[in-house]
Amino acid sequence: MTRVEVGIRNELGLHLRAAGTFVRTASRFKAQIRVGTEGIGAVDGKSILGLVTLGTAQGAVLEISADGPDEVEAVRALVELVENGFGE
Amino acid sequence: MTASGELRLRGVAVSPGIVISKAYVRRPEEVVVPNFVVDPHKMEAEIARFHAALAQTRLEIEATQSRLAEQMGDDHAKIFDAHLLVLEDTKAIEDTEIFIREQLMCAEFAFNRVIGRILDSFDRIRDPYLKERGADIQDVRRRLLHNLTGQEVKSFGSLNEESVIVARDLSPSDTAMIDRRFVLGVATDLGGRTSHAAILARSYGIAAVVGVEGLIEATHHGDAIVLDGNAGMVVLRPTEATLREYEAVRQRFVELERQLLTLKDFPAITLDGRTIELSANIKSPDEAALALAKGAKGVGLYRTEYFFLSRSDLPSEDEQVASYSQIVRSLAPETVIFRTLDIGGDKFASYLGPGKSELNPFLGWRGIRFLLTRHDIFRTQLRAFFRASSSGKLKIMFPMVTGLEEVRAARALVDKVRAELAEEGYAYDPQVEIGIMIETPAAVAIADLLAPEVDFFSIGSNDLIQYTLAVDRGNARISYLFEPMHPSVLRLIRNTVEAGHAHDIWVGMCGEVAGDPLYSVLLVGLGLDELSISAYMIPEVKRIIRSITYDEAKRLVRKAMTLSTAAEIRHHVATMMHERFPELMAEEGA
Repeated sequence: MTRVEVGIRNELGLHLRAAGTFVRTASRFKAQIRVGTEGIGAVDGKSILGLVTLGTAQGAVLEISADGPDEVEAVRALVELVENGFGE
Repeated sequence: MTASGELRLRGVAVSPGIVISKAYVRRPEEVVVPNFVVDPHKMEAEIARFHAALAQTRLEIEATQSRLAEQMGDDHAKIFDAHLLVLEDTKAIEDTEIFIREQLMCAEFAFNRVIGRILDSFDRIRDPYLKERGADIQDVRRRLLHNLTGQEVKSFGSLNEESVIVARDLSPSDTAMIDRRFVLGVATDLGGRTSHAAILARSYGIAAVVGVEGLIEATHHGDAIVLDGNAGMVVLRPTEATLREYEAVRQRFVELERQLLTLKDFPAITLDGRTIELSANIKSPDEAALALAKGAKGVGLYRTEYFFLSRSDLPSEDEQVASYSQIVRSLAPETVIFRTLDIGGDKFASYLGPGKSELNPFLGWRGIRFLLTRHDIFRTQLRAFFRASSSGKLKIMFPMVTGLEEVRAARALVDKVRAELAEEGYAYDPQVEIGIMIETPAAVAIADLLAPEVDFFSIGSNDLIQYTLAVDRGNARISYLFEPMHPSVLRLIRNTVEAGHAHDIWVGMCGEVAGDPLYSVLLVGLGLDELSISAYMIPEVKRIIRSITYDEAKRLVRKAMTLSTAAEIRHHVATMMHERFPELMAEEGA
């Protein structure tokens, strides 16, 4: 399993559209992906409804973990997405 | 509730304007959720019915999305991508199926329960913007329930005369159904600055007040209404006196708008007749309307990298053609200057290559250096530009140039691409100008050698300052060294302009410095032909340019050039600007 923490940098946080971009990226990988944040248990990284209920605003830290054959690539791609502010 | 007298309600002003009209009340839809028990033999049929409704809802959302994309641009339509993902959410679909199987309840009840649990968890989200996104999920739920029950979605069909829309809140689907010819303003009970009602109003340029508590209960369909999108006030059933009061307010506002508008259509020309092309910096097609509304003369810097960074794979040639054509068409007959992909530095995407692993990304594989080693990406983008050139006027520029070889290599590829397109039978504009960004001291030093081989220069102020003064603006310890008024920077700008003009090419500047009103007179005096700036700054900068003479601007530059430190130059320029434009300089520290 690969785990990493990454800070949310874009102004609007993990909003619906950003969560959508996250889900589309996560879904490209075979690995199971879980996403959590401070105090809230992990949700499925391929479920937009799970991600938005995290309510992660700017400045919060996301804990992303992946488990599967392409877990390293998956985590790398997702961290980059978050760091790039979901391309917004 | 039968209130009949005048009622004033306060809310949040989210889009300016004063409207005196009548109310079109859209009451929240009550979807009746059936709760019948399913016969165990018919369970599979019930699940199939659920999936059929999912498929139908999907088609509906896609249709709404493409309609909205036409009306408001792709960016607004993107929210429906997220709606589709909500609809496809595996977890929600599985939970609904399990609920149907285990509880033997109908699909409507099951799905409503599953989504309801998710919406409940929005209650503990504190961030107001994220909280408002619950409205999107409600929107999807309502659509699906409508399709399951066969109930009609209430449209805005009877909205056939000019009105102010009064609603509890507007969903994206609502905003897609509204006939914009008849909407003069929007007032809602719920919502904040980023609610869909607010976004819709700003993109249509109509007044809006949101977060007006108790609004919908107090409003009758057809009531006279005053909407003050400047002060955040709604007046229902106004008295004669109130109407007179607001009519006066409205006229003052219209007059102010008119004055701005007259300026908007005038060129940025000095009192003694020197015209500066004042254009906008934008990064996505939906910013074009704003640029035009603020009076931009075209787009002087279109940052194509955002199109690449907002996705996880390379856009195809056709996708690029579609995007570039859209922007070119929406700005016609003005020109759009496209900067080729400027990746590297502080902008990365793993599928593209450059990464943060470089020790010195700003001195690394970025801009034209990247493109010249990735001909596949460069060629595709150039092909897309030329194909889009048949839809309107565009120019192309290359970032991060340090030597003539780069310019020649890039131009050779341009020639190759044009020959290919001609052979393949594509129409393109053979007059497309090719320019370069001047953002390295090396490029300035050889500007006289570069000028004969390009059609224009555009100075990238941020990078030029960073490379000249060897200062990383992001480093707090030394960011005070980032100084546009440093004598070295002014000399480099002057040298660039002189080299360009000596070879009869125009010289512009794009970047933050170009858009700061404090520097406007100085930049005009330095001889720049074009300034490409944030759309929001255009009215102010235009006003400054229209109030000065080229002669006095040149005098300011001559004086500045005799001073030997940045502090002296800054003091001199700031003093002059505060005297001449006290109302525009109020917030600038000297």
